[in-house]
Amino acid sequence: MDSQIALLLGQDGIVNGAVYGLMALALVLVFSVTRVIFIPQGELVAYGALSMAALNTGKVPATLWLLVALAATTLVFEAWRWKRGATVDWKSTAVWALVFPALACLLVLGLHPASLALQAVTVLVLIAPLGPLIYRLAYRPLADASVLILLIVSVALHGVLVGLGLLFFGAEGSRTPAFSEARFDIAGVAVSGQSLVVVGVAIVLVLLMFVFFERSIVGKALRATAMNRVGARLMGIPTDLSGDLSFALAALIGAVSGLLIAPITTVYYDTGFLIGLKGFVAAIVGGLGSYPIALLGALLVGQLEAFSSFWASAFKEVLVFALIIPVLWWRSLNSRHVEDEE
Amino acid sequence: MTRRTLTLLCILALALCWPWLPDYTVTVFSYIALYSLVAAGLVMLTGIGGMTSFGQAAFVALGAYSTAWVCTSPVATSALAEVVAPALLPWLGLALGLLLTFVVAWALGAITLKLSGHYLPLCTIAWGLSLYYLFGNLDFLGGQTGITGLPALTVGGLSLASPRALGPLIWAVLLLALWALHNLLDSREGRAVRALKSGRVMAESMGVDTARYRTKVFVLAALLAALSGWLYAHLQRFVNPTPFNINIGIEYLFMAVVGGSGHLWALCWAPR
Repeated sequence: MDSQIALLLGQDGIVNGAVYGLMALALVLVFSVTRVIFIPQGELVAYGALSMAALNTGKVPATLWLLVALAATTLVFEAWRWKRGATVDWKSTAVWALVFPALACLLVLGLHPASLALQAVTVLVLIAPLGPLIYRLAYRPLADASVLILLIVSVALHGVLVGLGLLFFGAEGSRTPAFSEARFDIAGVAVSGQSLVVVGVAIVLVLLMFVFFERSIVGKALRATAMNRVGARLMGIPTDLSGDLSFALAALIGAVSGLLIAPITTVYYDTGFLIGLKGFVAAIVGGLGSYPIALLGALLVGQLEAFSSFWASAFKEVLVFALIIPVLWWRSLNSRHVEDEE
Repeated sequence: MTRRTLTLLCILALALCWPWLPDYTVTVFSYIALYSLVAAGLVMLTGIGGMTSFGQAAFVALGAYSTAWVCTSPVATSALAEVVAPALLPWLGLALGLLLTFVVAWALGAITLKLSGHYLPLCTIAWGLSLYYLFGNLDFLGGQTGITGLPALTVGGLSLASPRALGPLIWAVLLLALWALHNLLDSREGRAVRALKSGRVMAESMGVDTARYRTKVFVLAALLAALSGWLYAHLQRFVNPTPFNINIGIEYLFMAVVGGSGHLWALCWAPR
């Protein structure tokens, strides 16, 4: 192995690491706000990538019908809750279950987006509302359940979404055209424009998230909810809406990641699961609580994957997932107290 | 009629009609018992110990692959040829499988069980996948094509090649395991195990070393899974990585959950 190959692998690792980093961010966000370990995150990535591929070939992505169906179900569900006397926040319900689906229908069926940028926007509008709709239907009725039950719901949901992905997109994989065909030569290493796009978008998203959580009042409310739900409610923060918002952000990040990886690798209906799980490995490095350490973990996972695919390509996945064991061992050294599970 | 006599009657009825059942039903019943064995371990782990594992399929694989390797690989058979009779090889495979599983489960348990709840399930998914890919890529374990030509079990000169002959042994193992687990839960140790779920601080203050008991229950569940894997390997006489992937691990957990994860007997009618 010479320095040329090392640089190439390192570059590969950074690109993969950027995507895993985005996954890890979404997972940490959802977990800290709602205590849901969101395993279907990976499926949203695959949905994003495959919807983009469908739009590219001029077809109507079936995720549109999923969105419409989920929106209708949510409306019925909220109406039923309202009839039984529960308070329903109709404003946010209308945003997720009426405005976004209508916008998506308009974009896909009415506008037939032709440019790559418009197609990307359409995919974001299609996938992002799936998050809050899934949250309202599957998780919110169980908001007070234990982490374990929420996790089992996640696993079941993962099974359902993978099955739907196979139904919607078939077993064949898809690839989309790159956002940038440019090639650069930096210090003797060929760098493709697409990998710069991936890393750039990831950095921008991370910075945006940082500003959102540090500076905006909504972001601060989300952080407060993550820290202490009851306390946040006492301060007048509508904690129910924080679930919507964190799932919407997670789905948005998932869709963006899907758009980013679709030109680099062929995406199949079940590709998302492994991507999501690698995000988990990264998130666990950060203890499911720390954003910066999770990003570092994602870079570590990306590099490990790139270099192990060079030295022992057959054992790539083995090594990546086995990384979790030394990480947890290291974490267990630092935790000496007995924790009670809720 | 109490539940106890009802259970005994069901077992008796199954035993009586076993020779007349069609082949397909016999195979299905054998699989039910195999899955129940794994699910029994999961009930101990999830329903009673309050821990979740999506990775039991990996322990089943350890049990199945150990015996497959001992019985078929040229290295193992030639080394053991002078020491033991060929008919005893599967039993050596069982011993190796249980030993390997014990070591792996104990090591994994010692690392992950001290941490709070949600690490364990995620971790089990990760090493479940990791072991699955490992079995699929190791050349001496046949890679994705797997290992064929496992010998049938022989007990006291009797060959248990067909599911109809092996089934009673599987069911006997399952019933023995359930009976043993039942007795375990009624003992002093069992009460400590049951205390794990409802609150660790309370159990700790009563002098129960919760980390130690959690590791013990985890190892026990893993050993049951390995036992099921050993029986599976000799029922199927063929081993490849597919039946041990993460989806099957998830299914095992769902079997335990659907059957009512708090009760040992409930799982007998949950699977399939």
